[in-house]
Amino acid sequence: MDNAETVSVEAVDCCSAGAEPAESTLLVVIMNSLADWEIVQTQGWYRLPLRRAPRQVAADYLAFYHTAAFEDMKWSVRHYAPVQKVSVVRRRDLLPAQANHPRAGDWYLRFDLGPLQALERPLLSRRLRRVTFIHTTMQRLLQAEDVAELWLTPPLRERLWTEFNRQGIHAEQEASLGEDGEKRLCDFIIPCYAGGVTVECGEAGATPAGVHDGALTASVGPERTALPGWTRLRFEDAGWPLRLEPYLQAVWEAIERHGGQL
Amino acid sequence: MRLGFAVSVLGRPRLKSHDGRRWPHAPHLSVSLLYLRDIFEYLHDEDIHLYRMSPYLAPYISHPDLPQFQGQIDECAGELELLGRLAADYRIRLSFHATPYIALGAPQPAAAEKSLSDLTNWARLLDRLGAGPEGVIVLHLGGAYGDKAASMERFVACCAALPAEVRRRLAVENDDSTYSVADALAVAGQADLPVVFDYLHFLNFNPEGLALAEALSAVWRTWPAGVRPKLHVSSPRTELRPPARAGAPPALSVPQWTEHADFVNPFEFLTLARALPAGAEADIMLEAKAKDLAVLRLRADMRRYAPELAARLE
Repeated sequence: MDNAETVSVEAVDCCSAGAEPAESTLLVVIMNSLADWEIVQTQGWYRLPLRRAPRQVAADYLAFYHTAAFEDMKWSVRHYAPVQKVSVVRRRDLLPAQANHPRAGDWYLRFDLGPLQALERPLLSRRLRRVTFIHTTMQRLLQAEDVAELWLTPPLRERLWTEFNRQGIHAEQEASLGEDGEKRLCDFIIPCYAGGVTVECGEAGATPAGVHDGALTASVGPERTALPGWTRLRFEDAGWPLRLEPYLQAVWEAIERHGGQL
Repeated sequence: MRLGFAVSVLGRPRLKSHDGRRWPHAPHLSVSLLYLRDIFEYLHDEDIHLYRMSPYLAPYISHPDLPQFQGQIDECAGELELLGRLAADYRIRLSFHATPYIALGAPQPAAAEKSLSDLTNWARLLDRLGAGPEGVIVLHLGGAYGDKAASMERFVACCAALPAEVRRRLAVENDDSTYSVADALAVAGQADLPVVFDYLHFLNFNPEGLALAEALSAVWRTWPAGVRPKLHVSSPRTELRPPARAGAPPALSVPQWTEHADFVNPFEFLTLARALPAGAEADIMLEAKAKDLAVLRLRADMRRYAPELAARLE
């Protein structure tokens, strides 16, 4: 699908004279529904379930990351729009035609948007595909060459990968584990002599952080066993500078419990 | 005892205090409220329960030439109620501080009229957020306009003429050059308002020579039963200042003791904290340049230097 033919946009450079300053905040949201995209284009609003909203959700602009549901537009950011108003509404009021939906009573954020604007060229995601909310700036959107560059701090997954390599942890990135029926895609798997360790990174901004000893840290998520013989670690990505030591310590301890890495 | 900070958040990037876009870009209270929601989440994460909201939360709402902004509070009634519930769940005491343009004692009626519009909107916001009587709008007495006594009289008269729903939110604060704690107490007594004690202002301007404990006791008595008194605390800046602007002579200037430091000197703070009336609780707004980071630092300092007081922190 060539969006230039189907989307009504205003080709406006947001940083031109009289427009918004480049330090405007911007939230990249996930667009995984053709119906929702239709609403954005024709009615000028976007919805986000309140219970799934990231901890930092307020922004001057929204940009849209298209998932694999969008054929030719998949894995890219192509459009953004200014946020003009935000309402908190029940789903049944947002989508009256679906008043009997099981989640009709859920609260949603409704973002009323200004004119949808097209980037000069699509911003593709060449490495990361499983993108979640990205809180960033308009300046970064206009300067980025890849979706991965939208993070003002590298996402936890990227930072862990770098640190795993640096510390000699032999992890496989974005690997599958388990049998067909229960196949699980993990951010990392670390095979050990007795089973192994899987690591998943949560959504950016999902976990509180605190200032401790002068450095920002984030808590380590609960440890659960996913498959027999394996330890599953899930870390939340606080979305701002944080120390990796608690994460790495948890990984090393799990590796130790499984007899060391292969 | 609760420690808090005003408006800007430094501990989390890109967390704005309000929708600061200029009017042609149609900023909206609802966007400010979403920023405020994010701030409340941050306060909850950091266990901070005292916060001063931006006076510009509802953009351009009092602007006489931009009537399109005037209905925002009503438009956002539902969002304000939900946000107020979040603040209550997180036990966050909210307040406003009037901008320097608020001048109830001004001799020009237009200035007082403009002040009424802003004060009314802040009061309405606090009401819609469901803030109890502890949700105050702090304001200074303003200028002396050549006749301090007359200005104080005008201030009291103007307060008396305010709608009750506005007046009940007001609290007056001493300043560092014109109206001392004694002046604030005198006006507050006549206008039936509580006094917010500003420690740095008190240190800078106390011509009556009130002792600290004496001043605090008098201030305490202005607060209604069941409403915790609120104090402002900051340390004076001590660093040399660089030239104010490009092209200015390359001379450093000495600091003024009325300027706020980045952090709060814990030893000064503890002197004040130990002078508070016995058994009394207070909420203390830190007016430090480092904002929330100053709160976090002072909490750590209290644990180190005064664990008995740190144990009383909420």
